[in-house]
Amino acid sequence: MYGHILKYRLMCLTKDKDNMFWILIFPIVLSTLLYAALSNIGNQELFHQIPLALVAEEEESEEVTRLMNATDLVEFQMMDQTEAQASLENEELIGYVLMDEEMKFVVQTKGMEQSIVRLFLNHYRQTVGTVENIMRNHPEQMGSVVNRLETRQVFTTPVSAARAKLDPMLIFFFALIAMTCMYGAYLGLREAVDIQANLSDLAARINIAPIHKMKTFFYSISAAVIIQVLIISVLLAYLQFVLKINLGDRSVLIYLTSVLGSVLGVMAGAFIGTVLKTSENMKNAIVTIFSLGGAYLAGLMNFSTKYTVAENVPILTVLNPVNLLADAYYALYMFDSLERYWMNIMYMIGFIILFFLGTYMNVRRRKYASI
Amino acid sequence: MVIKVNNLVKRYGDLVALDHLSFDVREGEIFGLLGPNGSGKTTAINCILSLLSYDKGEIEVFGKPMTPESYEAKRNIGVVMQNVAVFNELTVRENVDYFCGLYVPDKKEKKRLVDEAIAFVGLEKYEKFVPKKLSGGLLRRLNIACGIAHKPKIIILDEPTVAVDPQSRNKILEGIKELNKNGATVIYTSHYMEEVEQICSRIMILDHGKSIASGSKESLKAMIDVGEKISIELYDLEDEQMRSFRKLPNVASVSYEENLLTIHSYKAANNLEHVLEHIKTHNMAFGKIYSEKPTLNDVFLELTGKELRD
Repeated sequence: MYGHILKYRLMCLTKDKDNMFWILIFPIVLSTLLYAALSNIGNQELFHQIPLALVAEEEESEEVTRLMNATDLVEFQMMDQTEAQASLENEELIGYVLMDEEMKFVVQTKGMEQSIVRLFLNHYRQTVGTVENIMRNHPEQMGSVVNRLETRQVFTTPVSAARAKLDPMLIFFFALIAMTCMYGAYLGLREAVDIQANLSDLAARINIAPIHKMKTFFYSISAAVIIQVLIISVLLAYLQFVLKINLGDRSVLIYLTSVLGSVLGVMAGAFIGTVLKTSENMKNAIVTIFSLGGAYLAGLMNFSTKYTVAENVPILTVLNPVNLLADAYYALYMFDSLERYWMNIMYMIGFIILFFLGTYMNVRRRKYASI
Repeated sequence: MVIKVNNLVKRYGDLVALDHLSFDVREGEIFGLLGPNGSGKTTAINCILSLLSYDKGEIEVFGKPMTPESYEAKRNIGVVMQNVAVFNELTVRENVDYFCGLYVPDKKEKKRLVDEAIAFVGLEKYEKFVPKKLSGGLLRRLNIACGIAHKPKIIILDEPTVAVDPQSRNKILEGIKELNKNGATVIYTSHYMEEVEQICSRIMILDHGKSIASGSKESLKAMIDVGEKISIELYDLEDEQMRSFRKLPNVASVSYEENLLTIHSYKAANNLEHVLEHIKTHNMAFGKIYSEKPTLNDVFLELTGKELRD
């Protein structure tokens, strides 16, 4: 009997085009669009050399050569003043350095890049001035000064608490995978509607059959979980092998987390379908709000939302199952320690138990007061 | 007795849906539950099937109390719901196979029964169609096939012909008679008195959750005083002539509209003969004449004071 019901429930769920679109096609399309739109986000943080012109009467003088080789921060181009002024006005440069008796830095607007160049030039001029002064007054100490300048001590080294550098794009994809798991709620809802005689004629017909209702429900829910796990497997494979997104090196845990997320999604839908006393359309709308809204709060639309929520309404990070799931992926990716990951998993298991008990209490009803 | 309902009471808040309803269904009969919409027919069926809880009363099926766990009884009951209850994603064959499989675990036996059910409702050509590709009538037939495929001993059909074209309706009614001939006991609910008259061997009339009469159609009609309705096509009938018909024996009422004189008579012998004699005596020019026996609607009208179709 299990095989018979399972086979037909799998057929019904996979042939339900509306559900399949939202649960399978939509996340794949959304992930592709997100990938296309966001794939440069990480790169934008890389430093680009600041374009600057150098205006000097003697282009091959020692002083010019020294300045041009003094830093990688700036990309110098030799120009005459007219040309440099024109390039500045056309915003091809952020400024130019005029090397006459006093080094002048000519800019048109103030900004971060201009400030960096100004700091560099000040530092350069001070260093050059100091060396020239020592050469003039204490030429015997020149050797040790040069040594000191060449062996600058770095007193601070940046150390990351994370095991990997987080690409901001991953926040979106973790939220997307979590949202897809939660879309299993549509399948759970469908199973809940198809088992309760007071919700559909089809369910009434199934209830009349000589099979224990809880058995039928268990068989049906297992079909929903199987479909959802297959869907999430397809999505993970698509992200990793087609879009080549690196979700981290803990693939097994990522997959197991997704399986747990699928169970959570399906049970959430069953819970909404059985506990809420409202129309099926309204229940569908609630599932959409629950999964899509949850994904938004977990950073699907804007990764800063995740941090804003955590800072201002921390309780929502725990009450939002999509965030728990997305944060579990995040923790797997970012930290060596699995403490934060297991915390999220425990909350998720708590939700699954809660949803299961709520669903069981309602589905086990053998007769209805009204149909 | 395959079903026995005793003193059944079902309330929805202040509304009494079933008011101390008692009846029984005998093996091999087609038992009709006739009543207007909202009279309690479907509620009674849902209580029998243990889908609905009830406030008072007892229900026995095959001599045992009916509960949601009465799997042995359920195995022998087939239900055709008022609304079509099939999976939209499955084909005709898959739908019948699914529901049959809930009752019959043996694959070979199931296949045979599914083939028979599909042939019985005449859907062989549509086996691979999904429900949305079927017309209303074909959909109703699929609904029936899903309910009867496992060859149950009791078949409950709850208004199976609602919104069905006359051709499909006739096919459905003929099919029900055939199922009964093959040994199934049938409970048929409807608000269409013609259908109930046509196929049911015993009828119970329900109104406001109460049984107001039950018996064979003949015995029900015998309960009322109304006799036949005589309609005569008469031209230019004057008031005086119309009044003369009222004086004839056993005439209850007379009306004249658009050249048609309608005489409602009390139950008695020779009513038509008196009328024809009167026409001949007064030399009236007439066209068609026809007489109709009292219907279940007349029974309902006399017992409740309202039309069955209201």
